[in-house]
Amino acid sequence: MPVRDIVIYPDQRLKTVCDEIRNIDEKTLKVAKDLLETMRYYNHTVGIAAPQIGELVRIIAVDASKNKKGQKINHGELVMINPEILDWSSIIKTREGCLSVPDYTGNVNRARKITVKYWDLDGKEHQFDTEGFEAVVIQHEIDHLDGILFIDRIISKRTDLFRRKNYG
Amino acid sequence: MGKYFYALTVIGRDKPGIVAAVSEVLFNKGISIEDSISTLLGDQFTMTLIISSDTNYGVLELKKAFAKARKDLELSISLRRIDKDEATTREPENLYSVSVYGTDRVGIVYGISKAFADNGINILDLRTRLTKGEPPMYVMILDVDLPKGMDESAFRGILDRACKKINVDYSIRKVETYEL
Repeated sequence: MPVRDIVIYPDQRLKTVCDEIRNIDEKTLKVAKDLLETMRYYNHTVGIAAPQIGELVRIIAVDASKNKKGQKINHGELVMINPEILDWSSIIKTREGCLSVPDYTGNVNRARKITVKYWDLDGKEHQFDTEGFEAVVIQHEIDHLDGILFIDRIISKRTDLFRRKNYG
Repeated sequence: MGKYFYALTVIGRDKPGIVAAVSEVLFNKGISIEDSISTLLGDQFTMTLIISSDTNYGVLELKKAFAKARKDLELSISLRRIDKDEATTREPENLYSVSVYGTDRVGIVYGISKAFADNGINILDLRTRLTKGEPPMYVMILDVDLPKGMDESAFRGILDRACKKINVDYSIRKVETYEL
């Protein structure tokens, strides 16, 4: 069954650091296929990480073009193996929700621009710069591979208004 | 067995132990905190909570349970019963974050909130702050839900007019939640 059930918190698989993929074998290809199918099945979902379907390996699928926010800058539908953020700059605040944490949203700070490196399903290495919505999606999904949920990154509502630099 | 809901507010001079004292009373009565917000305003710590219980406590009985906390920490506590449907939050349909700021003067909150009320714009969250400095600047940050059918330019028009009247600046930002 390609479309898989979504793992919901408090399932501890969501708090686990996932294993690096060393060989792109049958198992890897199956996880990648199921990730894509599951992402396509949830229409509003533009990204999904392997632990969200219960596979504790470093694979994510993203497709920022599915959302109008991602129309301008996107790299289409991607399966990213061992994705890694090499560089980032600037901050944006986004309000995020997560399939694995239903009924809850929160404000999260993310990098506006990132450089990301990954391997594709043929084992070829890629690297690109992206920004805005697609950058946020990729950061959210990579966090899943490190057992980090958006709740772990919620920023204080109080400091939004009360942040003050101390010049004393 | 039905649940019984109450709205509780607590306010008192800030010191460590207020949340612990209030939640201890609730815990001992088997009462759940459904929704809550607590913050420091000036040096007053304020808590507002929606609480629920399987036991149908009388309002007076619950108030009495706070007697020790009220006395020890010099808290003002008020409590009222609410219906179950008042205990859940409605999903906003068209959520905007608004910042309004300008030189401090009487009537900024009124001027903005009256314009919103007149146009069916619902305030979900509001924070204000008077900054230090000369002249003092007043900042308000709001989350508002626009009524069905109101677009961004109509909303801007309402804010433009209201802000001009009281000589303050504003900015708006549509709040979109990304489900990832």
